[in-house]
Amino acid sequence: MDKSKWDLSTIVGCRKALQAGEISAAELTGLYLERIRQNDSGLGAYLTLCETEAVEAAKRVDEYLAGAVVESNFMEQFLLAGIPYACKDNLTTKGIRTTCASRMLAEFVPLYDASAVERMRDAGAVLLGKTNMDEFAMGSACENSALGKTVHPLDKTRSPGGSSGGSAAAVASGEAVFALGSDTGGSARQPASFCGLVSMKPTYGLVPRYGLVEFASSMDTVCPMTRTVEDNRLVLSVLAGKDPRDMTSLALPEEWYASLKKESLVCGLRGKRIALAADMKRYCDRATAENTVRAAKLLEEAGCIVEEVSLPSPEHALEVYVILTAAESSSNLARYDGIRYGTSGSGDSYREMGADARTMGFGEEVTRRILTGTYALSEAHGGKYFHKIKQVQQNILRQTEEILSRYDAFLMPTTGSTAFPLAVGEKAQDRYDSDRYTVYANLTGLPAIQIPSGGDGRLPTGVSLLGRRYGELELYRLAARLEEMLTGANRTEVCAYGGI
Amino acid sequence: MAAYKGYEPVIGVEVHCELKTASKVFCSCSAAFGNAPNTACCPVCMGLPGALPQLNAEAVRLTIQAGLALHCDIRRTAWFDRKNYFYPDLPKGYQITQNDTPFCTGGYVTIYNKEEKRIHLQRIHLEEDAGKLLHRDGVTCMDYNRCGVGLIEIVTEPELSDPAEVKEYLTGLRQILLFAGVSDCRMNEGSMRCEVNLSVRPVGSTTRGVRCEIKNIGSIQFAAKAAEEEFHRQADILAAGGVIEQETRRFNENTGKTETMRKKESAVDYRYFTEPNIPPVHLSEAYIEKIQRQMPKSVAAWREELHNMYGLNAEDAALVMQTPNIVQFYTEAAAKTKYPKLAANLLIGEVIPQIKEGDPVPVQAGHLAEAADLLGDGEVNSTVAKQLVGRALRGESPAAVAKAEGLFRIRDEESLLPLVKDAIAADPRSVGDFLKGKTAAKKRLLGGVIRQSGGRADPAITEALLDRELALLSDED
Repeated sequence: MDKSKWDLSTIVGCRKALQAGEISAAELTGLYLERIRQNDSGLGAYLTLCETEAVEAAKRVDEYLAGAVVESNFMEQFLLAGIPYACKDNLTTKGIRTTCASRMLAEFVPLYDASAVERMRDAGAVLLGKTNMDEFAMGSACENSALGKTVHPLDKTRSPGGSSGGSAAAVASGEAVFALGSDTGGSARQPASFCGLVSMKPTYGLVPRYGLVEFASSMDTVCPMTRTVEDNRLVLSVLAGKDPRDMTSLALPEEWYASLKKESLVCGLRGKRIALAADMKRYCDRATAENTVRAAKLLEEAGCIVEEVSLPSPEHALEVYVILTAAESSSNLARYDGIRYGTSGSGDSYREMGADARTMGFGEEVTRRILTGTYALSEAHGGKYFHKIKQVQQNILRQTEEILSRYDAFLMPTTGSTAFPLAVGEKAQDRYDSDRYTVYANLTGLPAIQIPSGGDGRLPTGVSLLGRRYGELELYRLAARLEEMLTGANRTEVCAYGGI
Repeated sequence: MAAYKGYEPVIGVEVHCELKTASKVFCSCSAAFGNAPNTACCPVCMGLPGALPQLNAEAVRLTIQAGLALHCDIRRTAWFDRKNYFYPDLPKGYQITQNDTPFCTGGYVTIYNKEEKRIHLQRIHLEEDAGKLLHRDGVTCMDYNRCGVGLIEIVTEPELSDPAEVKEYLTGLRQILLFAGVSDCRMNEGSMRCEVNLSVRPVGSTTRGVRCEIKNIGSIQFAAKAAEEEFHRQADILAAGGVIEQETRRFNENTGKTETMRKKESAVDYRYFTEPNIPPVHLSEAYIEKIQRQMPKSVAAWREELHNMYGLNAEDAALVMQTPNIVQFYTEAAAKTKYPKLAANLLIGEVIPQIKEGDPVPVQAGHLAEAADLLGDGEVNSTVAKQLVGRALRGESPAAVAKAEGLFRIRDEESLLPLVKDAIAADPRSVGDFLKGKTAAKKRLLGGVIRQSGGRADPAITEALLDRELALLSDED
């Protein structure tokens, strides 16, 4: 095939090529596996490759495509047929080890697929492998992985972001067409921003969490990480929908899912009201702030009304997030005692064995958060910290919803800087700061989408739109228009690398 | 009120009951007892990474049913909490329970300890059971089948004032739960377990002493025994000038004493917080009304029916009402006989002791009715009636057995007269005594006849014949 004619770096492009019969699913998967072989040793995006499974899965897609069973709407039914993807290693995969980048689960092979993974397979997507991350999704630089080091595709001295750093690096460098990440406080949007990708953190409950290894259950979400807004919408439309195995997942009206899947993202923005985060200079570097302002201006040119609005309780949001997630994680990670699965410890009593397993199995950051969370929840302090923190969270939710009752979306930088240098003995506190903007979507359960906003000449910057509950389609429309407007002058510089 | 060495006890009781659901409370694994170890487990109840709880609606329904049967207030919005602690029988490192919002609050159980008394309940909440540890030969084996089985915890106010009331309360509570169809309440299989909290104070005082909690109690009798032992232990310590330490104790069935399990210093901080994986449960008026309408017949309603329709007194009624199965069976049999009271006696004396906890009644209702009719009509005596019920336990018809084996009473003169004559001939001394006016001597002769007949001679007819024969002798004099 004449590769220059076909864009094999996006889902939309791959679908066209597959549909036109220009390439087979097996060939497509072969191309990506080859890319991984050439590139990943220097990048470290993957912890586990599933080459054999991927080749087989792609063959099955080809059989369907070629066989008599194929109906004309095959590609409509199987939105991701033959598309090679990467999956963050905290989503369980049946028969394929799922480590959460922790020594604790280094050998853990689940008996069940996560709901999201199941939906990917049912839609025909081909799993290439499991990607590196911060241990149990706790971190912002992918540096807290016990099992590998991932670097930024554009600069090996920098971090791809985190915790879904492996997923971001894999897509950005052409080692996968798209990836699944997870986001508890920005873990998908921040690495997407660092690597110049699109990532939607959906409304809490839209994508079932079954099989997403828990960090902070009330805020964990599964997120698509893609090169384009349209690709992102495609993946989310496959992921969305109630699963009875997750009681917090939502059942929305059929029409809602149908429009998410089918409705055009092209539409007029005249009269849309956009809140622009005030006070950016305090929390951002220059390029990030400037590019956010430029995005706001572009929206204004498209007919939107843009007004500056202060972030709700900026002095508390991050602290609330840190304590809530630490508290929940201290309970969620209590199951790892090494008795039934995972790294096992030794000792003369259950207490000693458990302590030994946990000491060996958990890294420094995980340990720090468990200790913080245990302290925050303990009965002596429970009334003082945890319940007060829950009240502040409710406050932030009220304030944010109030803003979104007046504006269609809240535009803000995704994170305060471009990709930061790989840490040399940095304090944990410094890293939490990069979540300042992203935590709002998690504290409130609202959807937010990150798209590239340009760069500083070397590295990408990103902006986010925070939207109303179940307002994913609205966000995709705003984001698609912004993406289109930004593409002309600036997008090339962002996406000048990585494509196949 | 019990008093000992000038002290009286203040007692509260906590009962854990496994719900009678087919599956566990947060997954679809079987909740049945007695499966081979670790064969009723799944990622959810084993706490594997990423597996999430799904609330069993039937477990909620049964919890509400228990609450209604115990006159509780039902909370309209409730949620679940996590109780965090490390123990090998708890795979997630926390138990899902209800700390802040139990489904049921208030309510009471009426007991009879010389006089009627209401034992008030604090709360009933729904939670999951833990697994089971088996310690043997220095090795600990873990069986997770029980892990995640739905459990209700029923907590009383501390207002029992006599170890005897512990027994009354537990018996009454168990009966109500059984009849409400909430649990099979088998203490031997651990589907009903209880803990006793007890402190003592000087008789007449309104202060509260230091409280000890007694776990590991295997039966209702042991609960009362444990309460009594603990009451005496604490009173003895105080009477000797000592102090009570707050602690968790266990009841040792072999020694009949309570012993230390752990002191307060090692008390656990459970770090409760709301379970994020289960959204709040909202119960509608209509839902609660529907459960109320479909409630099985209550203990009180049964008691009334037994009294009004079959004339059973409170004591017999209580015995017949040991389980819903038994009372159901009884009313079936009672409807078929002219003598429901006799049927109750036979059931209580001959059948109930043969029923294993929870098993169906091993006799046909028709057979019990038959035996009661034979006894009531005087066709057989009570000894034979009991034997016939024994045969009915093996599936045989009492009437058929009585006929085939000639167990009917002897009531015709033709058969009785020779026996009477033999007795007179065999015991001239008694005859002499009688003729001299010692009427008691006739009883000896009558006894002789009945003995001779293998107990089958009809006493009334025999006595009439004896009177006639003795009168003849007296005339001869």
